[in-house]
Amino acid sequence: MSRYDGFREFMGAYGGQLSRFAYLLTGNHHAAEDLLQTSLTKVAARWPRISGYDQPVSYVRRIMVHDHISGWRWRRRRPENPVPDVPEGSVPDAAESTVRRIVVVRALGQLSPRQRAVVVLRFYQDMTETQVAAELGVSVGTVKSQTHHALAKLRAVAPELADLLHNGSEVQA
Amino acid sequence: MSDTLKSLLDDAANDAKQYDVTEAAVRGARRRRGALVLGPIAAVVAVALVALGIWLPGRHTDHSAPPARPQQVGARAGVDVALGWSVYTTSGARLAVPADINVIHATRDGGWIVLDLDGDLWHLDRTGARHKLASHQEQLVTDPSGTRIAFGAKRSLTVARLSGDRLTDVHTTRVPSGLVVPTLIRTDGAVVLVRSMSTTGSRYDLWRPDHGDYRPTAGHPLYSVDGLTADGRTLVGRTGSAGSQCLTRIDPDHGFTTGGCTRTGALLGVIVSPTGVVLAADTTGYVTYRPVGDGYRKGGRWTLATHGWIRPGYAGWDAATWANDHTAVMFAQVKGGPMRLLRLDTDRPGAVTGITLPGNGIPALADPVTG
Repeated sequence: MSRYDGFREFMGAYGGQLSRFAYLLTGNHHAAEDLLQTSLTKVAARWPRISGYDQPVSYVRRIMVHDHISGWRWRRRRPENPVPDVPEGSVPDAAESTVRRIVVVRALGQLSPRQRAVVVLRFYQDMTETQVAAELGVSVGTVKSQTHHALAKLRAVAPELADLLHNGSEVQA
Repeated sequence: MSDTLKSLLDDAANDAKQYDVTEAAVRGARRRRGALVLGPIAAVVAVALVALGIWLPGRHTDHSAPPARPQQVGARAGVDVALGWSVYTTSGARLAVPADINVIHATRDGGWIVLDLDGDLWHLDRTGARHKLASHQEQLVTDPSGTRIAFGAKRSLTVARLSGDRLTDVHTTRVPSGLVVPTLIRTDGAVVLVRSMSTTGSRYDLWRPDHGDYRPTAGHPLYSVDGLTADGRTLVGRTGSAGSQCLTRIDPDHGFTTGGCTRTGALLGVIVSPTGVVLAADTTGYVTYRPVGDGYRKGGRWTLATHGWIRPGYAGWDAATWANDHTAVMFAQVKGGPMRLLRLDTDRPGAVTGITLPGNGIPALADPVTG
């Protein structure tokens, strides 16, 4: 039995979830695939240890977030591809929702990597502020502040979404 | 709001594919384990080679430099191409750029104005000589003739005339806190269109530098302003919402009144040619609109599926540019293939001339000077 068999099983179960997470963090397929491969290479190398953790998928997500943030620093803010892929099979009557998805991903691309991670963890992964803080290794106050700034920026850079993002008062912790 | 945002993110995440990287990760992990053993050996060998003068790392410092004949890209496309830390000219030269390019525009004197990712604004001439014009800037626009520029940071806007590698006739104004960015500048420099972004959406406003500091007004809500007409006095833009857009001409001197409305459906982006022809990207490809009377007439269409493209522009639909009034160029990626520089000729609807772009950098096109 290979030391990587368990890792393959893990990916069979969580590959889709982690792919979607990578896509939201990066905003395009190429970068998502790169991020996932980079992070999973580290995970596979340490799989015997990671597999013993209570929540391996949470640990993998954490590696992805940190790789995403540190990769951004390393690349010295190279421009991200602001154009999400147009879904295959797009049809005209789905154009509005397609444009909305593109606007969402493009707006996320305007956030800093850390803000983006906060938004994805907080709202896509349904984590509490405390959980996000633990995931990122920052204080709860930092998460609150990053969330506030991220949402303000999302409304500003994606005025098309402002109404959708505005039909409530405050985000609950 | 959290439910709405979750729903938007769920929807966006559905565009993800299942990236099959498991085996690649396993191979990478095996190599990493191997490197733990081989690394020290490799380091010793490298030191030995350097000592012997056989291998001199660092001689080639441009990490994103394309490996083969990039000059052909520019020459055949009819435009200069900026890639990573270099500009490749139509004449075949490769010039180093001070830093990673964020925005690049051609200037009337044949050079470029470059805003790099560190926020430094540079003038670069055709010999490669460079001169820093400003620091800590975030936005840059030029007029269609390449003689006036406007740039902005968080709290200021500046408009100036480009005189060689110097800025003259400089006017700077403070702007209120928030996101107020220059969008277009008229060739005479008398009017700068600014976009003010707030929680309630974008509004457009004018700053007339000859009249003093910018005084914000309530602004005018438009979906988008995309370019200027040939006379430089009328804006080409869109009204409506994301799913139902209307291509129209807008008169900023008379209360942003709009002309006839040409319904276009959902457009992803629009670029306006020197004489007002519109190239629009939608979810299925590109389409041209020619000004006719008060409106626009739909012209040629280029369909994504026909050419196997997976997106309307690798660096964004706004990275497309008009080389002249009949030719537009843009980057696109072909499914299963490399990123390509594409040329669309409006006289040949549907036809595409593709030029393989070497390298893996994220390129930008230098908008050609008109007039």
